[in-house]
Amino acid sequence: MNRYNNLFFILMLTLSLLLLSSCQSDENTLIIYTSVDRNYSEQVFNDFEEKTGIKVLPAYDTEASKTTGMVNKLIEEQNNPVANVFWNGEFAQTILLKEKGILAPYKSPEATVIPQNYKDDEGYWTAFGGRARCILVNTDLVPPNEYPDSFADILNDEYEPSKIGLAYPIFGTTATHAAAIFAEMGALEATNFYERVEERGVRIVDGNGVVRDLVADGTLIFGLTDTDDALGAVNKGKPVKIIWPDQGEDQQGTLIVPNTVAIIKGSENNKNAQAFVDYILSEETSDYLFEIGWIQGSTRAPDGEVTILGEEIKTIDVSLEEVYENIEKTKEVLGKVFIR
Amino acid sequence: MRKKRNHFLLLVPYLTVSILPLVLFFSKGIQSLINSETVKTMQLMDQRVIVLLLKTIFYSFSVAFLVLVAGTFIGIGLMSMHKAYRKFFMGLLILLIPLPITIHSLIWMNIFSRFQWMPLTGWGISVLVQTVAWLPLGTLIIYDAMTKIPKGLIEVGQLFSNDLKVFFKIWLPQSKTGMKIVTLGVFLMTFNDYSVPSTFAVTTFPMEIFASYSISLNAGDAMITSLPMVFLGFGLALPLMNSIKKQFFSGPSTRDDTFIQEIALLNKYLSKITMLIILLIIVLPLIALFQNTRFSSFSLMNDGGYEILATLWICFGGGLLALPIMILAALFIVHHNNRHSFILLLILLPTLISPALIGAALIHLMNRPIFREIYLSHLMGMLAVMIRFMPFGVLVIVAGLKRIPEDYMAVGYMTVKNYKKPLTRILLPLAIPSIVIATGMVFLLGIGELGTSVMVLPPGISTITVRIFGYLHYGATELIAEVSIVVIAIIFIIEFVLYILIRKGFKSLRIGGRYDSSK
Repeated sequence: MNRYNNLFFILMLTLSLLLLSSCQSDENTLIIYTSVDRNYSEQVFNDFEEKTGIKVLPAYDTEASKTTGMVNKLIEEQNNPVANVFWNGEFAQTILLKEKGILAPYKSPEATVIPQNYKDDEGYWTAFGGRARCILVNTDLVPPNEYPDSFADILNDEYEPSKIGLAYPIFGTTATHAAAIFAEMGALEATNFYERVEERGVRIVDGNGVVRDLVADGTLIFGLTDTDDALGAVNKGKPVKIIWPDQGEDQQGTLIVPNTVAIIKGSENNKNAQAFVDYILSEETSDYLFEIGWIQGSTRAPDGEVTILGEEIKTIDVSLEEVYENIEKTKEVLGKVFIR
Repeated sequence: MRKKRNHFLLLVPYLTVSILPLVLFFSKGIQSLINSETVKTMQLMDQRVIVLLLKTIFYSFSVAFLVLVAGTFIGIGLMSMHKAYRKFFMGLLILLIPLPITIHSLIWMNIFSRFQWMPLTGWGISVLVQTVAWLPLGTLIIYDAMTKIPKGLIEVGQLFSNDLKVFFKIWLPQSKTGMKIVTLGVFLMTFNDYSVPSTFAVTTFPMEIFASYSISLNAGDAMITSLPMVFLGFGLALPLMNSIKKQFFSGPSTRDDTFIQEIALLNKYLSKITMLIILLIIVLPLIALFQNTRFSSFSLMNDGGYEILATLWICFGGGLLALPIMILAALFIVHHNNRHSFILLLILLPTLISPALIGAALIHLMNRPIFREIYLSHLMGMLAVMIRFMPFGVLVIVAGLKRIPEDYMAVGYMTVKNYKKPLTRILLPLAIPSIVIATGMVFLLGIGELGTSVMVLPPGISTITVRIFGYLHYGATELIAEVSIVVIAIIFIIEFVLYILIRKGFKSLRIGGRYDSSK
């Protein structure tokens, strides 16, 4: 029986160890939930820790949860918030969190140079940095005179539909882009457009990263993706070229997808949270984000013009709020079109 | 009456940890649906959803059928092998079981991409990869069923027919319980998975659930969307209960290897083909992984060293905490002598629910001031691992308990008045091998857990699987290869340790020299 007593004692000791060792009690910490790719956000958190001495406890999203994991978690935690700050790689979900009463207002001094259309009037969120939707072409497979120059080229008969790629337009920035198109074209015309995309047999894949990889390895001749994903292939020396779609005078332009940062309700007086918002909105951090490849442009221009990769590009003429207002309906409609 | 209540207490820890969060979350979902202005039930009648559901059923059935055919083939091949070879090749198959299914799909995509003629998207490749991923588990279950055929049946058959006829007419049909479990089990697992199909641009029904959760951010909507899956899961799982009982809860097996080995046709060709297939499904991926790894800069150890430790800690804790809960639940099932299929179904319930919904349910239950310390600790990850994989552990322990001859306990009860003594001195010590396997199983399967962990892991804590998915989006093939090699190495070491423990366990478990493990 002694042997069992010993076994029981060891088991209890291990369980107590499990319970005790798991508890976190450091006070000079900041909890940040982020949907930004870990490869980038991790570097930023390290830089912030080095500069301020504040320890960041991050919670990352994964592509597997289509960047909605963190938003779902914030909604579930609404009554007993854990996070201090939410750093989002896009804007629509942040506006949604404001609507749900999950955010707290904070007007950062660093936000004064950011144009009004990139920040919430009441200070619930601020947009910064920017990625853009772009066309990535495989230069080995398409001669320069045949490069696509419009988003609508995915319906162009000159290109084989199975060689054109698009991520599911119900997730991530592809959904945000679709919502912008819905806002710009109107629901009927936009739905018709996407129905034709589906009927034509354009390759719908699982994420912008997959579009990039398939274009880079020559499976696709071109695809629509984000600049940060596209640059991954460019920097690896793949035979690809980034093209800004719809830059003609009578064309709609492309979508800029800025990051957003917000303080979670309950942390409005948290100095560490404010310090992070100030840090991420600063010019120095903007340059750093550009340097590491997460953003390709800045929203800090006072006239509201956005340059991406040093080029001034034409953008879709819809506000962030208009895109947000269309996103739920867009996802619902496109879910029915593409999930078959 | 009092006795019955006491036995029900055995199940309480399992119900509290695994079922309570789901029940609370579902009741919250139903509440939010009642309050909702939209009548979401109409969604179920949508023609598109029905077509998608039928398509997914066909897809899952294709995978299940292929696993059944290939698993039976390899199972027979294993039995026809020499004992030493069999152990080695079974070891290889066991090694592949806990490998996360996404790593399977990535590795095979990498292999197939070397052949220009090979289509990298579509149903064909998706079904093939999913089949390969489930094949090791399927084969071992079918093999297990094949070892349980009463020797007497074969001998009677041999009186009237030749061996080959006995093989097809008696031996093979007698393994149908295992085959049924594999077919339905693989069907259900495929039916719940969207990671492999989506890698190969195939849309299946779980994607619809995900989209529903993503669009509405409302658990109620996601629940309604997942109802057809849950109903179908229940519908298929309920008749499966009898097969599970027959397969896992039956008494000691009577192996008849010699019969199979005497059939020259099987012995000569099948065993060799089987060896080749198993080597192919393990060696090819390993070559592909090593080719993609830059050994000069094993950056993972810098970037992911902490995650590897955290993963091991979470899985170790999950396995250890699951241990008493699984034993108690298994004792409850054994005591009730398999009478209640409903209880068994309740225990298997978490396997029928989407991992993301389990995560949301855990957050809903634990995100309260009273549980604050737990909510911000590794324990959340451990709970995720426990809820998802304890059902399999319970089955393994019940199987182990059922294989202990009833006479041992009868003798125990005859000689001592104390009810607990025979339990602690006879039943549990003899069940140690299955308890070790069950705990090891929770540990190993936990390594690949993502869907629930990604939602419940607290800030500052991450697992290696979560990091793999980060790399996936980044397109870092060489990093994924490095991580996969590390995961496989960890799995291999743990399985080796478990093997040693189980062997030692068998050797030391003798009751006054009367129990011989080799029987």
